[in-house]
Amino acid sequence: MAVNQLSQPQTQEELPVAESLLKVFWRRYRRNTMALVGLVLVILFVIIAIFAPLIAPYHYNDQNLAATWQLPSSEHWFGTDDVGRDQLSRIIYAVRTAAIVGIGTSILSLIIGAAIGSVSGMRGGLVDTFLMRLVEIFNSFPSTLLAIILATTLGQKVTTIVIALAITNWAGYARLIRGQVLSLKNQEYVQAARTLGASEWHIITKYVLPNILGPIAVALSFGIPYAMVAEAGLSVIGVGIRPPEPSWGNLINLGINKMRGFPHLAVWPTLLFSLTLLAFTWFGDGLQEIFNTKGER
Amino acid sequence: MRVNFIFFLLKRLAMMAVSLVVIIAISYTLLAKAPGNFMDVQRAVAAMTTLSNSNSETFKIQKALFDERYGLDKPLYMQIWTYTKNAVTFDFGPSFQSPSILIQDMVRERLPRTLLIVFLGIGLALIVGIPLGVIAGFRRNTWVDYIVTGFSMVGQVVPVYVLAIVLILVFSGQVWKILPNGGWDTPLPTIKQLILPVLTLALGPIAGIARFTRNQVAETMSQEFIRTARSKGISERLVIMRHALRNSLIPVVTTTAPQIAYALVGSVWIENIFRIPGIGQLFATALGARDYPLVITSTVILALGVMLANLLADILYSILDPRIKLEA
Repeated sequence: MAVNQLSQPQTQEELPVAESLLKVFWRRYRRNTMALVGLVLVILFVIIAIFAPLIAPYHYNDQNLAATWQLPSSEHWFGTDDVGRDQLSRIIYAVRTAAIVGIGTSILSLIIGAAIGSVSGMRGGLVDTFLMRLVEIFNSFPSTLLAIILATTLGQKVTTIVIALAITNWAGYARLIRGQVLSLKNQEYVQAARTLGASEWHIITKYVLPNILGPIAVALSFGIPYAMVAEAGLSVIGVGIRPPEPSWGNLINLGINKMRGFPHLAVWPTLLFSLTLLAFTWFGDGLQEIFNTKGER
Repeated sequence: MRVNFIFFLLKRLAMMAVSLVVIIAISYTLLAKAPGNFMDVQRAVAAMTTLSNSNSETFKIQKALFDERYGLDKPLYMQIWTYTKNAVTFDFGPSFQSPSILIQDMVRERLPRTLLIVFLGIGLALIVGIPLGVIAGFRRNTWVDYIVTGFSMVGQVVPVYVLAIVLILVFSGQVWKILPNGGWDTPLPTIKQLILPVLTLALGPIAGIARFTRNQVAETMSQEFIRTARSKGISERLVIMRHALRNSLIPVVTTTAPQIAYALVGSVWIENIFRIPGIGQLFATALGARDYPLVITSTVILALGVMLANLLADILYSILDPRIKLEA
């Protein structure tokens, strides 16, 4: 009893002094101006994606054949397209598509990569050699071309594009996870857990995963713009998400085809798309700095 | 050293061969499973252009004949095996679209055009990117550095097709109308026809090389041997020329390989937007027509280019910097 009473005030005094990890990260993140701009834009991007139906003045597939190919006006801020759909509304909904493709692809490829990478790292031996050769093959080859072929096979919907991009893009994640697992596997606290009889699954989820969340967050934040670039690239080749569903890719593709007569159709999607990509990169750079995964930049 | 090098080369080449076979097998299988084949596309086209009943018996006979001629009636693994076996001797057979022209002849005609824009683009990127990076690296945290870093950020993030649109809008339409926006009708392109595609292709690599060089130079300048050289009292010019530049430029070789890969893959978009009849355009048009032999061959050619670039960079790096050991 007496011991308890003595030690309690001490811990209570220490608590307010200790800063939470999140606060430390935020303090470090705040120092980078571009990262802050990126963060604000990324939040804006997410808000637009979630509330697209409330923000957009029209539905993305509201056609008005009496008002096709209109130049920007007060009614249609960014003009209208070949069947009289409001371009601004299509761009707003394209943000939603891009969010699904970007986040969906990077999470799915992370899951594939984490499964293969952690098995490879924990097991070692022949399994490791085989899986890493597989990763090497996938890395030696321009994955975009494979994604294009895969998208042709699977079809041209949002879900299938996400699957196509994830299947061709897991190798980087697998390599990252394997490296992290290898460096953590022999840490003393992991070995202690193993000595106490913890299962491999327990070790991975309770000891290894929490320690590699930083690098994973960085990889995800760069994976999202990569997926958006790939998705739009597919559309420019003609195997991307099909209209009427709007995506950055098919908006840009329409812009390329109609560049002569209606340059405004090309200008806005490309500018806003580039801004989105830059925002995610600034955001990712900021994260990379606070987790310091690749040293000083 | 000699033996080591030969061993390294053999191992890498074997790895490349395995990768290529895997790529052929995967893309062949995928395309065979893809909805809609070449004959379906032809049938749809025929149904649109003529009023003939495309569902007729004649179509079935045509399809059977077609399948037999291209060996599509055989099991998939046999098709893959035949294709791979012939590909080793650079024999890719005829394409679906033009049965009288062999694919290898198309490749021979088109590959030089793709290589021309890729190498001009990479050459331009090295000529512009390295000096930009060196200047930014020596003047770290000045306005020059900020401009170069800002530019390379944009250039690395923005994809080729977006750069193409911006350049076409600026130089071939809305702002100035001084350059053609594409199309090579003559066997050899004119300089004017080359400027926009090459510039589009070069911007990404310029950005990448500039950023890499800048970081290399900045890192080298903080090394101890630079401090030693300075304290010996030699001029800043000599410090830069003799000590800093050499050590920071050798690693730039390694970053050129990914840039070549970027340019080769980027040629798919560049050639489509600027209407250049190269391998990249071949890939995209073949995909649209479901012309599978052509799709796979152009994929293999582009993949081979990427792998060779990587191999060459590794070898070159080990020659330039003897401390680097080649390990496969």
